[in-house]
Order: sequence, then C-alpha cells, then structure tokens
Amino acid sequence: MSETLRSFPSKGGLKKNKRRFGPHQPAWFRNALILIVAGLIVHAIWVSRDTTPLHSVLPAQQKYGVFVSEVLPQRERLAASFVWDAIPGAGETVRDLLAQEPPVPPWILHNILGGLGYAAGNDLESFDDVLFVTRMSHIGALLERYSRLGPWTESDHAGGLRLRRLPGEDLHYAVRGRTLVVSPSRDRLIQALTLRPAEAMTPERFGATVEGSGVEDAGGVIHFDDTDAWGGVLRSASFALRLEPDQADLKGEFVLASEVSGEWDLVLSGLAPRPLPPPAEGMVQLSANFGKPLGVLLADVGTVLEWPALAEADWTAWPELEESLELLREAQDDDGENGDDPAHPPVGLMLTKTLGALGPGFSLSVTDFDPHEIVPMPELTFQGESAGDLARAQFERFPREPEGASLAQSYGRETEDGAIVYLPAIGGPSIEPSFAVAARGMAAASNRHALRRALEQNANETRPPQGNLYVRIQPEPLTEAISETLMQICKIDALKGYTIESLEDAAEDWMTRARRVESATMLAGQNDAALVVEISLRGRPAQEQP
Amino acid sequence: MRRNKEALAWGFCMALALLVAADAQALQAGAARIDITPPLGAPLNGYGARLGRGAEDVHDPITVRALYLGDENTEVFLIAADLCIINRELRERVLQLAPGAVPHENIILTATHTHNAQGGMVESIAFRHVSGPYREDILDLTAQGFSEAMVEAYANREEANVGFGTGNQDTLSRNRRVDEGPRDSQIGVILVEDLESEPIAVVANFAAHPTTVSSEDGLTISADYPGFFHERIEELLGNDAVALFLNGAAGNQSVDLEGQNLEGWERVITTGELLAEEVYDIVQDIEAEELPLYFRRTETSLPPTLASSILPASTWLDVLEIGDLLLCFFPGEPCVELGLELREHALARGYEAQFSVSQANDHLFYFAPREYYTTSHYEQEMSFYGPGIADWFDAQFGRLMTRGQMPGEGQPTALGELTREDGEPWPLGGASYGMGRQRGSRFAYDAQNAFEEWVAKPVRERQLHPAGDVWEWLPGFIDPSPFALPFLANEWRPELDGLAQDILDDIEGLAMGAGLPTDAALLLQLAPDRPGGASGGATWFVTPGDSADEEGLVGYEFTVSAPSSSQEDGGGVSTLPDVWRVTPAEGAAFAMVALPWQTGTVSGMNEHGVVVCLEAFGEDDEDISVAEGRLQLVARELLQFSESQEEALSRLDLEDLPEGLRAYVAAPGELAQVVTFGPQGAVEPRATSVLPEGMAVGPPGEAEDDEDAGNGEEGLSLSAAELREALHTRHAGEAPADRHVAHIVFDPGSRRMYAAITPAGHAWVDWSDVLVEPDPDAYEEELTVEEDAA
Repeated sequence: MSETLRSFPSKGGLKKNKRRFGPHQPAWFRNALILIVAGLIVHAIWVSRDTTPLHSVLPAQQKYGVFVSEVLPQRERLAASFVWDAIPGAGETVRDLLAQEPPVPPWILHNILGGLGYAAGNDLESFDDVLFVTRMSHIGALLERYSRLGPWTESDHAGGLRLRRLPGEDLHYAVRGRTLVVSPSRDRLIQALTLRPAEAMTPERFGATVEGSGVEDAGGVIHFDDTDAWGGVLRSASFALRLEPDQADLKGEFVLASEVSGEWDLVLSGLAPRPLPPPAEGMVQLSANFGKPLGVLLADVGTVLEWPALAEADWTAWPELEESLELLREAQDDDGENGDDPAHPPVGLMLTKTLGALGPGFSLSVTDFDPHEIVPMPELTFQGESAGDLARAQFERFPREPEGASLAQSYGRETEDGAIVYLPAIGGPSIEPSFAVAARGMAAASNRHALRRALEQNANETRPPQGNLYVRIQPEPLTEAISETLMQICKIDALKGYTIESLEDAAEDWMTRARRVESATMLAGQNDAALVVEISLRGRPAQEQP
Repeated sequence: MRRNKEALAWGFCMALALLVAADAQALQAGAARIDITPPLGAPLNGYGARLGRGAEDVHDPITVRALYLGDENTEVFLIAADLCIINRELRERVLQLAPGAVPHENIILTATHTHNAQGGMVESIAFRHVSGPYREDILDLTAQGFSEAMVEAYANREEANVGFGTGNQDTLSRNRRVDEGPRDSQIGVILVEDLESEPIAVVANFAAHPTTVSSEDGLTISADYPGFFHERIEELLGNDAVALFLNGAAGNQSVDLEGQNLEGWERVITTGELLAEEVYDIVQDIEAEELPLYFRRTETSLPPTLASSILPASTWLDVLEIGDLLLCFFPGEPCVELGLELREHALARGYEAQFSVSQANDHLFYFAPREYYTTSHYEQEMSFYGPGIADWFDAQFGRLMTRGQMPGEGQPTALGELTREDGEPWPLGGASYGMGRQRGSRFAYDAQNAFEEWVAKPVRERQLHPAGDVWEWLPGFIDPSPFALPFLANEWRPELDGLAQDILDDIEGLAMGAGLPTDAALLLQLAPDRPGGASGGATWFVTPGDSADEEGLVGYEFTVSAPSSSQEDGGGVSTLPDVWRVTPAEGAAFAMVALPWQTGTVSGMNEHGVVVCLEAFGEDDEDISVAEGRLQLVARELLQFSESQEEALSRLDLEDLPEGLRAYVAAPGELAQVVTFGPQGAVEPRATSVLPEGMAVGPPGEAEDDEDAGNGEEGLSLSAAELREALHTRHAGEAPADRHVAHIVFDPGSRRMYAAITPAGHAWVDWSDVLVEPDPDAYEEELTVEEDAA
C-alpha cells in the first residue's frame, strides 16, 4: 500500500459562495435561503396550478363559440398571408395589427395569451357579452398575480369572486388557477365564475368544438334563432380557417333554417354529392350536378323563386326539324302581336328547347371578355351532359335558317364543317349563341369561336371533386373585365358615384388586390341535413405580381 | 464677265417668267379615290334594327374621295366618303394619318350618309346599337384610306380652273316627315378642270337620305345611290375625273322617284344615275375659271343640351368659299328648313349660290327647326341642342363667311339686370324671349337647383322616368339620366303643342338666361311634385257683381311648400312665389303670380280685367301634374292674349286635360265661369259668392260667431279691404311653418290686384297694390331669339 500525496484543487463554487454570501455567512443562512427559494418555487407552482378547466367557466348554451389557436406565437405567419392584401379595408387593418409590436414585451403576451383562446356569447350584433377564456402558462399566471401589485389593474371584490378590471377600460377579468376569463360585461363574468357544473359546457363538447385547434387557426360554431339577422336563413354555421402565406382554406357547414329548407325542398331534397363535369378553363368556372335534368332544376328554382319565366317555360326538347321551325315562327309572330320588338329573336325559346333536356351535370365558364361588342360581353361556354343520342338529336333538330328569312328573325346557321350551329343575334361575332355535340353531351357558347376552343380543350380537363356545385374564379382577369365594363358606363356618366378619374383610382386598387389572389375555389355539397362549403384561396406571392 | 451678265439677264427673265406664270394661274387642284370596302363581318352603321350584326355581302364598293384645292392663300382637302357619319374617333385617326401637305385644320371630312357602309368606329357604348361593335381594325382601314386619298390627290395636283352652277330637280326627293312639306330642289355642282378644260373632279350637292337599299339587303355593303351617282357621272365625264357627293340639308329629305315604281337595287341604281345625269346637264353650263378660295373653321361651344353626357359641348364649323359660292358644313343632319334659310340669307348677302353640306367633321345627330320643337317627329327627337339651333347655325356661319353680317346686324341687345323697388312687383317688358332670359339670368341659381331637385334627382333615383319598364330593370349602380332625361323631354315636348310662340320663346329665354337647356326648363315646368303647382294647395272664391265694388272681386289663396334649406343657407331652392307685372311687346299687359323659375302662372289679371285662377283638386298623380304644368302655360297665354272672358274661355280646351283640374275665369261685367276639365268637363257660371270653409268675414273674434260667414256661405257682399282681411283670417296670424302663402285679391273693375305673399312661418306681410296697365318704362331694349343667337 503506498501512500500518494494527492492535491485537491480548490473549488470555484466555494469561491462563488464566498463571494455571494460572504466569508462569514453561516450555513444556516444559506440553507434558509435555499428553503425560501424552494418555498417560493413551490408557492409559484402551487398558485399557478391548473385547477380550473376552460370548459368549466363556459356556459353550455351559447349562440357562438369560436376558438383561435396560438394567434400570438403564429402572428408572423398569419400576418404574411396574402389574404390581408386582397381584402379591402379591414384586411390591411388586421395585417397591421398582427404585424405591429405589442405594447408589452411579446414574451409576456405569449405567456398570458399564447395558447388556445375561446370566445363565446349570445349577442351576435354588438358582441357585448363575449366571454373569452384562455389558459396561461405558469409564468403568465405569476405575472398576472404579481401585476396586481402595480397600478395596471384594479381589484373588484365582487362578493368574494375576486374580479379585476383594467382602469379606464370596459374590461373585466378573473383568474382561476391558470385560466384567464375576460369579458367586457361584469355580469357575464360573474355568471361564468358561478356556473354550476350542470350549467357548464361538458368537456366532450368543448373538445369537439376545439378539435381543429392546432391545425386550424380559427374555428367554431354559430347558432342562430329567429331574433338574429341570419336566423331566417340558417339554423347554425360552423367553420374552420387556416391561413398560410400563399393559401387560405375555409370550411363551413351550414344547417338551413327549417323555413328555408322547406321552401327549397323542391330543389334540395335527396341531394347528395355527385360527380361534377369539368368546366372549360376561364376566369369563372362553374360546375354543378343537382341530380336532375337542367330543365327540371331550372323549373324548380323558378317555382321556388316564383319566376314564371323559368317555372312555366317548356323545357322539353326540340321536336323534329319542321315542327321546330313552326314553333319558332309562332314564337316570333307572338312577339310581334304582343307589342314587343319583333326584331328580337325568341332567345328564351332557343335556350329552353336546347338546354332544358340536358343534365344533370353541367358546367359554365366565362372564358374571355369582349369590351368592344355592342354591349361589353363576357364569353360564355356551357357543357351539359346528356344520355345517349339526346345531344345529337337536339343538335339536328335545332331550327336552321329557312329561305326568305328576314333580317329581323334569328335562325340557326351551320359552320362550314357542320360541327357547329350558331344563331346570329344582337351584335357582332361575340354574341352568336352556338351549339355543338360534345363528348359528354352538348356544348354551347356565346359565340362559335369560343365553342370551337372549348371543344378542343374538352379532353384535357380534369373533373372537380364530388359535390353539387363547384365554382372557381380567377380574380385578376375578372376584375379587369368588370373594371373595363364600368369604365365604359362611366364614360357616359351613367355609373353612380364615380367619375372617370375616381374609377381609374378605384380600379387600380381593385386590380392590385385581385393580383394577390391567383384563384378562389368553392365546392359546395349537401351532406345529410347540412350544406358543406369549402372555400380555398390560392395566393400569388407579391414578387410574382406583374 | 459678259457671259456672267448674260446669265444674270437670263436668270432674271426666267424668274420673272415664273412669277408671271405663277401669278397667271395660282389655282391648283388634284383628286383621287380610294377603295375602303370593309371585309365581310364588319358592322354597318345607320340602323338600330340591324341589331349590330356584321355585313354578309358586298353589292358595290365603298370609297373615299379627296379633292385638293389650293391657291396662294388657301389650301384645303375636301373629302367625301361613302360612310354614314364622320364620328370623332374616325376624325382623330384620319388627322393622325393625314399628310402634312395641307394644314390639318383645313381638312374637311364629309360622309355621304349611306346606311350600308362600315360602322364599328364609334367607341361609346351609347351609340353602338346603331354603329355596331367597336372595331379598331375597321377604323384603321378606313382612316388609312382617307390618308391615301389625300396623298394621291395632292400628288395629282395640277393647274386648274373651277366653276359652279345649280340646277333644280322636282322628281328626286321629298320631305319624308311632312306631306308636301319643304324640300330642297337645288342640285349644286362644282366643276374642277385642268387648263385643257378636261375634268379633274366634279362635286355634287343634293339633299336626300341615302337609305334606298331595301331592308332585305340590310346586311349588304353598298354606297347606296351616291355610289351609282359616282359611277355614272365619272363615266359621263371621262378623263378619269373623280366625283364627290356632298349630301345637303337632308335631315328630313328622302329620295322619291316620283312615278317610278322601282324595287330593290334597281331603285338604288336608278336614283344615282338620274342624279348623275342631272349633274351632267348642269356641268355643261359651267364655265370654269380661276376663282379665289376662302376657308375658315371655328371650334365653337354648342348650346346647352340635356344629352351632355353622351354628346360633346363643342364642335367644328367650316365655311368654304369658291368665288361667289358659299359652302356651309354642318356637323350632323340639318333638316331642310335650316339649309333653305341659310341659303336665303346667303343670297341676300350677295353670294351667287350656297350649298349646305351635312355630316361634316362631326356627328351631333339631327338639327331640327324651331317649328318642330313641340312635335314627335323623329328628327326632333334626335335633335338635342334646343329649338334655337337653326338660329344658332345661322349666326355661327354668318360669323365665318366673308360677307357675314347683314346691314343692320350687330351685337345682340344687352339687357340690364332685373331689379325692382321694395314691395313692388318685378317689372318685365318686351319680347317674350328677352323677358324669359332676363328672369332666368336673375334667378339662375334657383332655376338650376330647382331642375336638380325636381327633375334630375328624381330621374337619377328612378322616381321619374320615360314610359317603359326598362328603366326599372336597370341595375342600381346605373344612373339612367344620360338617356332618361332626353327621352323624357321627347315624351313631354308635345305637351307644348298649340301654345303661342311667345310662351315657347319665354321658356327658351328663361332656360338660356339660367344656363340650362330649353328642354330642362320644359321638364321643370311640367315635372311632378314640383312646387308651384295649384295642387300644392290653392283655392279661389268670388263675390261677383253684388259686391261693394261694382264689377265683383276675386280672391285667391295659393300655397307652395317651402324647402327645408334656403339659398341663404347655401343650398336649396327658393320656392317663394312672386308678383310680376308684365308689359309684353305683343298682347295685353298683365300681372301674375308665379315662381321666378317658371314660365307658367297659377293666377293673374290682364289690362282688360280678365282674371284666371287655377285649382287642382284630384288625386296627386303624374298625369295631372304634367297637365297642370301645361295649364299654367295656357293661363299665362290667355292673360297675354285674351281681351275678354269669352276669348279666354275659347283658349281652354276642355277635352285636352285630365279630370282633377279647374280654372276660374272672370272679367268685368261678366259672370265668373268655372271651367272643369276632363271627360265630364264643363263651363259653369258662378252666380253667387262662395267663400271657402274656414274663412271669416268681419272683425276678428266675431267671425266664428257669425252664422252668415264662411263655410261656403253664399250671397255675401264684400269690399276689397274686407276680402283681404278675410283671407288672413283663414290662418292663425301667420303662414304655416312649411308653406309660403300667396293671398291675392283681384278687382277687375278697377284693374287693381292686391297681393300679400308671406314666406313660411312669417307674420302676414303687407298687401301690395298693383295697377294692371301697360308700363312703358318696363323695358327699353328688347331681345329676340334671333338677336340672341347672333
């Protein structure tokens, strides 16, 4: 056994202790301090423990309940969304609010309001009774507790409920555990804090309501009754919203009020999502399938809306050609006898007989715009599905121009290849309703050139997802077309509220906003008793704007 | 050295010879034609019934023809194109492309007015229903043709002589609107020859619409009869001469091949060829020589129009003189009356001949004569610049031509500002136009704001619109006024039919003074809901014959709603009626109660003691309101022109007005007559006194207890003073807060009229006492329409 001299270096910790507590502090002091610190930590944990679930302060019966997920931590992402640039007025305000530095250090806000927030209430007009609840972090809870020592809040004993309020602001709050409950209404806050368990929202229902939080940025449900502005139309509406810098998705589910669903029963009964035909590419694309022939659908809509022109139109197909011609002659004579201008072709008859028997799937697109037509004219393309040889029969029975027809009458003419029959109507080549047999039925367009393009495109298109109604809009060309039309009206002083200069300014603003949105898509379908609507906006990064 | 001198001498001689030669023949001319036939599918201009569809066939080519004329002082291009109109887009494009050889302000663009040539060159959506979809390619093609024609004509220029002549035709044209109405039988011809007397160009001026192509060929491209005129005359003249057709004052002139039952293209071709042969005959008598050229253009402001949103406020007018020939170029379609009057004046000024040329440089639609103003003629409905447009053109062209002013013509009479002494009626005198203008000028603010309040605003908000449902279908963001206002004027103008010209002149003058279109003053006179109608609250009563005043008295109360804000507040319109003492140049002097910005009156008396008061008692609807507006004009007319009650009654047509209106007509020594209008209309004498309900007679406080007073009591006998006092007793000491009240007592026997017009909410004002007799001091100057146009 050897003995080795061992040298132990002095420990810095001792020196530190020496520096902090002095060479002469006794051990009991150090131990007491540790105990105090430990006690404080225990106290902090104890006072900020999570004793009160959020749902326990939320009344079970509320007209609306809306959650927002981590708005503060995510605010940079939310502020970067193109949506704010596209929404006039309020959009910029919201974006600026999200982007600006808060009046208190962000870490404080993150600890107080950083998590899931939930707002509920019954007043859908003023929102004066809104109740907002969120769960603070431990640090947030302590900050709130110790902030009471300063002048920032005032105590409100409230019979022992220990409310607090912000001086000079109409805002009251209370803290239970880490749960912060805020309302502009003191009564509402007291009511929330004194809820009996049976009156509060169940954890299951609360969980279902905020199910999308974490994935969605906001969501919730609104219930309407007869006293509400929307109560006559909707029974409830729920939604979920997600914003990304270049994408915004909104999903909504609407339950119609019984009066409306009863009124529209003729159109909506038995409706379920169906395959939708592909619409031609254009600034507006619509595709629909309501499970019944187009003529029946339009007649039903006409019945519901009490529009005799739709409800009472004869939507049956064209009879044989000779009978079709006779039908047309009679209609033209009737126009004259009724005192209407006989120069106008019976367009209604042409449309009802040609389109009425088609369907149930049909699509309509605005593919272009001619500002120089006799009136500014959108270029429309329609495709209607039909079974068997119906489209071919319709095409062949469409009345062609007989010998000796006068200028004022409109009959169909065939293109040289016989593929298209078109109807010279009012105006130039952009207004010639045209028809052709297409792959899935019949195609029609506002002019023959558009129709030919649509027929060529037909094979390349993909179907939208299943539903009952699909609409896609490209805001930029659509806004341009609308602006151009308004400008032409403005040039003859017939546009209310605008001069040429003010319209130019407004149109520039519209175009700037429209350029931020590449497309807006809506898919709607009836699912059980609810109408499900999904809206998706695809943004265009600012640097890609022309 | 000697050779240098010789060279100098030769050079001097050459220069002298050149100068002499130039001096001997300064006039140069060149002509060219270019085909501007558009491609099939091009929209055609001229008919709304064509629905804007494109051309489907070509029958004959469309050309543009240019004639260059120049002398040492003047150079012009005279262009005639086979087009319907010269619209502004075309003019602008042509001038952009035009060669610089001639100053652009010396290029005269005209269209033959064929309705079967290309349209599509008007950008405004207001006119595309007639001109078709806007096609820049057609505009470019057409303008390019104009430019090429000018370049070629200039390149073809050579020394030339020019002459002119006229002939008459009786079988080629007619008045298409009025049977046996005025027509222009003149065919004017300009012949341009080279120094060998070979024709360079021939210009024909003839007034008739080129609308001879049948409707079956409505989509066929054709130059119409001018095209066949060109073809035939050029064939007759030979030498590759270029023919130009300048349409005359053809607004209401049509082709009429009397006695020839021709159809289809034969009619078109024959018309052109017959005209060519007439022109050729005239050419035979023309001696071409060197004539001086004079050209002058002005860009001038047009009279105000209700269609100001769709029509310009200024235009270009040209005058071209070739020796003693005067050509006046109209920027649209003048009716023949304008051309004939202009010619008459030109000949009186010493010109040997005058040609009116339509469709030149601009297209402002039709120009109708004053006498059409109250008609529903198409030409009038498409005439947007007021009834005085003929005088306006006459004056404008008078300023442009070298022999412009007739002896005695000078500056228009300057009327002084309308003023009056406190408590006195407004004094008016002279020609009706001048009186209206003086009043309009004095009350321009009120007239303009009244038009805005009771016409323009209701039209904008669709409470007032022309007949038809289309106005209600328009989407809410559309302001219908650009079309609705002119259409409404077209609808209501016939309401003025049959009125004395003095009344129309007063309306025209009032509008001119107020800076409004005449149609605006018309609409304001007739507009529903306007203040100043008797339906606003009027009642009358009478104490005939048996009163203290031997001839009886008439009392009248008339209320007018007071707007919430007044002129003093910086807005609103004064609706306070006033008393006017009128000494017209023609007819009787009279005093009347009327709003300052209306021509019509609700009550008045003339120097013969004829009294008229109006009352509306039926439902307040638009028909009655419009009819009442007319009745107020009739009342004004009968005050001016009736010397007796019988004469006044004869001017009131019982059947012509709807039920719900009454007029009361009194005169000295006659039983007062109540005229009730409508199908059950009647004229009934009022034999006894009638006081309306609420009126008290006697000292205040006793009236209510007096069983003989008020409530329709008959058989009263009152003095004028008692009647005045009684009128005020109807209200509690002051006018109602929301209405002005006019109290009037007429004493026909003494020709005295007492008026107390109290503003809303005021205590009763003092009575004014007006002696109704001519006032020679009422005016020193007169202003007539013709003078003012000048």
